[in-house]
Amino acid sequence: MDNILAAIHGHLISIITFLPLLGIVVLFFINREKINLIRGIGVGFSAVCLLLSIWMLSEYSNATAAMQFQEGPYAWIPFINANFHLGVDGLSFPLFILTTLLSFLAAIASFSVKQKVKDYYILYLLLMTGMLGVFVSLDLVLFYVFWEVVLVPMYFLIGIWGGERREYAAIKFFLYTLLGSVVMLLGILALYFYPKPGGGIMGSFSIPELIAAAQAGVFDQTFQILIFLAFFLGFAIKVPIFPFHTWLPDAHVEAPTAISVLLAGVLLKMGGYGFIRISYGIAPGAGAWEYFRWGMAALGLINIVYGALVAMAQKDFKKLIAYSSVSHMGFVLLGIAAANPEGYTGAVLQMFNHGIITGALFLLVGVLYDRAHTREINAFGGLAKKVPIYAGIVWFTFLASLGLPGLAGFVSEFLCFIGSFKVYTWMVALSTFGIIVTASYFLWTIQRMFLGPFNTKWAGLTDINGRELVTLIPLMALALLLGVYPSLLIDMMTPTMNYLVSLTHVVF
Amino acid sequence: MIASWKMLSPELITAGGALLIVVLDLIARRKLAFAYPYLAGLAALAALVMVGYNAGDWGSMAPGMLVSDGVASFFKGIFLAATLLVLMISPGYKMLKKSPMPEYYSLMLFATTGMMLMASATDIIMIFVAMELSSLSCYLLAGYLRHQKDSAEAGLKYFFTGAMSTAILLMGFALLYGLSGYTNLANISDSIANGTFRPGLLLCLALILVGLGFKMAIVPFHAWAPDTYQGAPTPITGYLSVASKASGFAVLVRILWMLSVPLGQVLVQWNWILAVAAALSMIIATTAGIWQDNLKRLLAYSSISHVGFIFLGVIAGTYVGTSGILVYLAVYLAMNLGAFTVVSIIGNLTGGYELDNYKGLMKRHPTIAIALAVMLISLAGIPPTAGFIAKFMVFGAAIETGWVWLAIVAILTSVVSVFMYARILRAMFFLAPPSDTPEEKPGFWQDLVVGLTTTGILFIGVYPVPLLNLAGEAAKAFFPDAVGLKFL
Repeated sequence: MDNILAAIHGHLISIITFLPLLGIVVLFFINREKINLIRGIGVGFSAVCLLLSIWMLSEYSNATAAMQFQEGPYAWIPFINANFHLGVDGLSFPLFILTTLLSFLAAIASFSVKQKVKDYYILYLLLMTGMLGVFVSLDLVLFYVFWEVVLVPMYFLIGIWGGERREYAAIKFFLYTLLGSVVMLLGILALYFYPKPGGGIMGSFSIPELIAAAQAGVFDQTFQILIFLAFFLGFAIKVPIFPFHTWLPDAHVEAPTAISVLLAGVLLKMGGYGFIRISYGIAPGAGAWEYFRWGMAALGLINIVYGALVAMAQKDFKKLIAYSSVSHMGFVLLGIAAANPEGYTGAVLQMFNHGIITGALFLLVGVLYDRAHTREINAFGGLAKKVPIYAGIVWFTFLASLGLPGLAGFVSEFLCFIGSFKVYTWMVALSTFGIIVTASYFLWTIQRMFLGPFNTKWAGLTDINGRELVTLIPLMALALLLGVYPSLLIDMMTPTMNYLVSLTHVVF
Repeated sequence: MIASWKMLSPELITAGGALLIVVLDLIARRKLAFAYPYLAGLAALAALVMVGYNAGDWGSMAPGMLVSDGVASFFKGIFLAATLLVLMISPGYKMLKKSPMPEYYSLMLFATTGMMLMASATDIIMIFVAMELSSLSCYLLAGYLRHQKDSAEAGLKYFFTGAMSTAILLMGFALLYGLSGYTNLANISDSIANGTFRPGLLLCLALILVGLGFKMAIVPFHAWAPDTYQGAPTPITGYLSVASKASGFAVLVRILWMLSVPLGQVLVQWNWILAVAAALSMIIATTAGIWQDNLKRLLAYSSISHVGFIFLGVIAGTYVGTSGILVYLAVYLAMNLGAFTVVSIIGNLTGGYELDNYKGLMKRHPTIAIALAVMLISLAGIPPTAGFIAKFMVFGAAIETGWVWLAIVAILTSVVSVFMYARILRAMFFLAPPSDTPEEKPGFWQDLVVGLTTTGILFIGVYPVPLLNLAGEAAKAFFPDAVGLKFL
């Protein structure tokens, strides 16, 4: 027994990442009529992943910036020196846990899917593997494979189980994201074939090795700038950064509820993670270059303000939340551009918080849509009378999202501001306008939907039920906990953030 | 004359098999018709086994004419695998059942023999003869269903354009002979290398490219492909799209390598010609493919675009590039044959090849739909399929040699091609099936081929080591000093 436990312990990351594939195999043999069994298996596998990641949490050390739970590098494709290398640190571990948590909750929220449930969960589990793998890969080829693995299940999940314009949204998402990814592929290949000082080529896809080479000054200025730009496109589309964000409203709105949760909660974070880990790790000179830094901050500002303004103009509840996502990711960019520990910590914390808060928001939209079959804000009114619990939860989550002190959103946004205020004072000042707009559209939405005279059309609405509460309460609890005691997460990140900031200096 | 019968045995087996079928048919008439597919399959299998058995035993098969080396053997493996898979699905193809069959099987074996000789040939006359052997057989196979307008038109178009291109190729060969005084490629290389810059060489190569470009269906020599692919019997379309193209590459790679010394003088211009052709192929083929509603035409355009991708490896001309070509062709074999098998299955079941016949395929035949989805995702080059590994290799070759603009064209057209394939995915998974669908099941052999190719694609996509090592070993024939990419 001890041997088994030790073996599992030694390979926790692989097990968590690839366990969903085992779930797919199991599901293959189950009759598609047995819906409850299928749901049970789907939720069960994601639950096991979550529990294992909590076990990892208990063993995680807050003291070191080094990669923990490392596996490999094992030879995978010796012919091109691509290795199987996994590991987590303060940057990826919060996002890894976020993914397992949201996957579990979204699997429960997926009970609202009634058609082709078996196919849904098979694609869902494949999606899980892809998402988990992205955050833990320490080899660029492995990273790329996991990055792309996410695309195909997403395409089918949006295209088959989505809303009215699902086909359009699905192919738009697919092509848009793929475009960014293939440009990234060229960057990856260029790194491999870069001539090494002393003869030969770099010949390595290993992220730690490339970061070390970058620190040693191997890559020259032009190359770093080109690499940064190549990776920029791929990550910018994912984050999403204005003007590469136009896929997001369509994809988020048309996707089924649980998939929107994963899209907003996890996929967007893949872009932010990529920036910090890869762009700023392997091309630190370009990242720290004053023009690119300024550009990043400016794009962050645009995201925050533009996203908020467009969100305010939305009539569709889900689209409003989608644009609020664009807006919130702008803080991540501000934090990254700051290139100091506060900024980085704020950025990563914002990614985590946004994941849980916006995840909760999309779940809430789903709750309403399942009952009312419309998402138009103006169609509702005075709902607080009929569905008070639901109204209360929406109220709470909106407050968390707009950054009310005491809830999680405030801490991360504040940290991003602190970090970049030193460097880009006036951009931060302008961003606060975005916060005002955010508050205004959230409050206005509450007023339009829940307050005021009751719209008798909705006399038949039922309040939130137990299953939906189960998916929401953990997220709300986390939002409150991290709002009051953010050190829980920040302590996990600090050594790594300090280390990553130390990497970011102009090395040319 | 023949240095080693053992090395020549694959070609002898296939040629012998073809002759045996012809003779048997003369003697026994139609009574033995059921046996021909098995006979042909056995011959192809035996030849494949001999190719594997001969591996490592390199040398000259017929001095000055034929050589057996890693690259040639790899290509032979591709031809034979393609033949085997197509032979497996041919008997089940409904359209073919109405026509007499024996010539079909012997023609396929003759075509394969010709292609195998093309891969080994080191003499321009040998190349030409072998090429004609395979081309004539392919013309006849394309037009096999001669009572059908589509097939007859396909065969005729293929024949006319093929004959013209072969004539141009021969002109190029003749010029090459004129420049050097020899027909053996090694001798040609020696005699030209000693001289000054010979612009005539560029002309020769251009003419040769016309002839081979037709075989590979690269732009601007591709116009025959959509019509021929659409009209030919579907198994033959699959065969043409893989084996015929690969044979063109076999000759091109051989010529470029053996003439690499004199080629060095005109390399820059030559590479630019290839690069423009490749870029045009990728762009035009993917753009045209988006508008196609007939699946065979769509896959024809997709084939043309893939030739453009493989050209990235040819242009690179390095160890990475050559291994990339081999890997790509092997993966392409699985992807395309798998796709065409599914197309022929659906053709059998629904009688048509239009996109409408694929509507709601997920509901009607889920496993077939999923298999085709895997093929299409692989054709698009998305991980974790083998198609990604293939594209990774050729993109790497392009980046390695500095052809960045070409690599950018390649990735952008990859994205466009996804749209082309997504239309099929959409029809299968998003749309509802027509109400009057027959409940037939595909035959055993067709299921087997689909299963084999799908499994192969997924397996190689996740663990490409066997294929990469095989291709790497084979490419060492041209680059003896290479020891795997990381030591470059």
